Amino acid sequence: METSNPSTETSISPEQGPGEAPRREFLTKVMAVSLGTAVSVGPLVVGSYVALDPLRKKSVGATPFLPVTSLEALPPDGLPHLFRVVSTLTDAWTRYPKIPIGAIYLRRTKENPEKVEAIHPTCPHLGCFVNARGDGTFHCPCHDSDFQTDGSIRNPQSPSPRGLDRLETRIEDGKVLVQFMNFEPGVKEPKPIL
Amino acid sequence: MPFFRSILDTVDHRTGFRSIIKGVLYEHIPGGARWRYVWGSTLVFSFMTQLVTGLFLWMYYSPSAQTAWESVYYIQYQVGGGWLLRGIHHYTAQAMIILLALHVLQVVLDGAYRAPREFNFWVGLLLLLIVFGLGLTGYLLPWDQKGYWATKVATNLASLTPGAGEALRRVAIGGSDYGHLTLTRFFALHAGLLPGLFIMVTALHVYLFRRHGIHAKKAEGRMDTYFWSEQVLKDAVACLAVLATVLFFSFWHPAPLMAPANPSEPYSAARPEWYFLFLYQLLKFFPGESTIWGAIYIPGIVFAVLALMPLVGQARIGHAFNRFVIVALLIGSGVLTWIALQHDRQNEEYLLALRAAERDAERVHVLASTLGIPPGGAGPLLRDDAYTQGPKLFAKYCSSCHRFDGHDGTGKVPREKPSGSDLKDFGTRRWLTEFLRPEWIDHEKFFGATAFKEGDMTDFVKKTIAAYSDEEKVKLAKAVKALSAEARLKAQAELDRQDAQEIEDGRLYLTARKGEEKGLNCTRCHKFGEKGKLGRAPDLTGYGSKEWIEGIISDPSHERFYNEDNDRMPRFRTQGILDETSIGQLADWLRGEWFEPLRGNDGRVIPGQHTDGG
Repeated sequence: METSNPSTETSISPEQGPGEAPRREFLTKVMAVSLGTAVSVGPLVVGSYVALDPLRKKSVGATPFLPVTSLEALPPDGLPHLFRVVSTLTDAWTRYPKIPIGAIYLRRTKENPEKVEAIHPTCPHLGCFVNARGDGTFHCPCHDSDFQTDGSIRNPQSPSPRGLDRLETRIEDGKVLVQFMNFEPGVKEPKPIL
Repeated sequence: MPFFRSILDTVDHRTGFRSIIKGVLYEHIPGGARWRYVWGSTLVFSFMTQLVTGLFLWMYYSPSAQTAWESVYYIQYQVGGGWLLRGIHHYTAQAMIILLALHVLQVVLDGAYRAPREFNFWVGLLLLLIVFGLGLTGYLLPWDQKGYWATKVATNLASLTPGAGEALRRVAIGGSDYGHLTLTRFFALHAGLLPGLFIMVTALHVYLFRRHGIHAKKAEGRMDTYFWSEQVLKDAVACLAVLATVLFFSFWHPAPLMAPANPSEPYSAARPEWYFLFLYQLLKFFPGESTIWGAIYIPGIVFAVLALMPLVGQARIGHAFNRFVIVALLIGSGVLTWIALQHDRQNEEYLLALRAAERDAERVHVLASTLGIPPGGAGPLLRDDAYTQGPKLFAKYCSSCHRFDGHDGTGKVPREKPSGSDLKDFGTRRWLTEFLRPEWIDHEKFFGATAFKEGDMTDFVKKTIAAYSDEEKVKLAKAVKALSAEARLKAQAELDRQDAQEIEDGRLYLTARKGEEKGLNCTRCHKFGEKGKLGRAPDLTGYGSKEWIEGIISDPSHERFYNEDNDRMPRFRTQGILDETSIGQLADWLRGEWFEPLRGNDGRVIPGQHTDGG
């Protein structure tokens, strides 16, 4: 449909005085724009608020020590061994009574068999799962970060901003307990994700 | 500003956006802006609202038989603002139906469907069908009892279609039964195919509309205007009114979510959404095989009449006929809807079913928010719950003889007279006290309708107890407390603690002989602890406890209970009528023991916390 740009006169009704008409038309325009905008963004605002719900979710608070394995099952050979961490997990609406929530490298030595070291297997660079080499050092398969047996950076060329994260452990009744948590990737200092 | 303008100029040179905007805004309106032209815009606005809210709901919704209800529950109760988002989506869907009806009404009354606008009328009818489709598919997605059973009826109706009915139903639900594939299919239709179609067909609708221009009503003598700005303002005000109405309902009655879909659980409160009630009512007029008339033929004929309107309307008399038809149709639908509502309002069974459904919906909310939803979905929450299953089991298996506070456990009063005792508060002090009153024992609440009406116990109460001295009456009261304490009822725990001494005395009176220690000598017939023998009358040891109730339900003819004097009660466990779980749920429910969440001072459930009951 061909339309021409209307001149203002077309919409003025005869009974309106001069000066009043443009003012009234201006008011109509302002109201049309503001009401139109308000109506259109209404649902969008509610939707965005809902979509941003993850930012408002409260943190779970203190992380408990979780039993990971028996001390017996961890050979005192000074090498890291990978164990599964199992716990209760609430994933949105589902409560899992027992489900793997992650993994952990544990290590103990002959010299100090009552002390267990726990190293998080997630590379602090961008979150890949690091592999333990036969000699006890770690290697990230994604971008070649290289770590010592104790988790510290081995090769200074590694892109990882910090060494592998270490976790608190405790031994109770022959069981190894780990205070399992995850950490923010990409930052210099370890920062737990709660 | 000149800088700004030059940027816009550049963009316009590349895109031509100015002429597009001009084309949109400077639509010619003969006779000027009018309120009667707003319906189309409100419909576009409603659809946009559905699109936006729907996309955000999509971020949380998970279509499968174990997660659909659960994710909607999560949206409704756990996501901040989720209930409002869902409310807007829920009520805008209904607003669209009303706006559509108004739009069609206005088009037909004004004659806007006539040449050269026939095609646009047909396109509009297609849009009407798409909106109905969106409503129908959306109703199922929460996978609650309401949507599940209503959709089952709707898809079964599709199978009445002559020729390919059964195939149509199979394709619609993605197999032979309702489950994962029904949800994924309905979701794809609801969130993908139908909205996509709607957008395309609406584009065609708007194109055809602009091609012929607005069908002006009484434009003579009125100044022409453009769409911008007065009509835009009118449209915006109308859209605002729609949004305000939707918001009002969302706050007033948040979008409902009933208990999770359960094919084994009857749902007598199943009704389609209100805007399909006229079709639902129409169906009821066609018994047996003639259902197809109400389901397919008549709606088909009506739709054909609508589609033929532009052709019929070419003649002056035809237009008058069309106007009559559209008004008659709307009034007819209104009347049918009203009949359906009125019928339900007076239907005792429907109202009971509705209350039961609301009870389940509230209960599952309490359970899910405190216990969390298990990996298998929310279904087991209600299935394993004594508070939910107790009344249903009682109604089904016990209420043909027993009553619970005069009804069958669910609130319904059976037509037949009871032939067993009323088990509300069984084992409590009140129940026992009334039972042992000479004027009550042979009342129909207790032994009145049973074989024991003429039995030894009745005899004992009516003769011996009736003749008790005041001193003996005090002893009886203590014995009642002692016997009731055997049940270890949660509701009486505090009383039992307070009256420990009286209970101690009462235990003595229960067993002591009348002569020696002036006891009540119950153990002459009953067993109580070490005293007395089994076989003549029910064991009073642990009377009314969970274990005792489970025992008597399992096998009332056992020597611990009525032995061969058992009246007509089935041996529920022994005969394989009920399993251990159901009997346990019945016992828990009769004893008033079920899971209770911790509540705050305002009575609201505190998530994740509960007492260790049930």
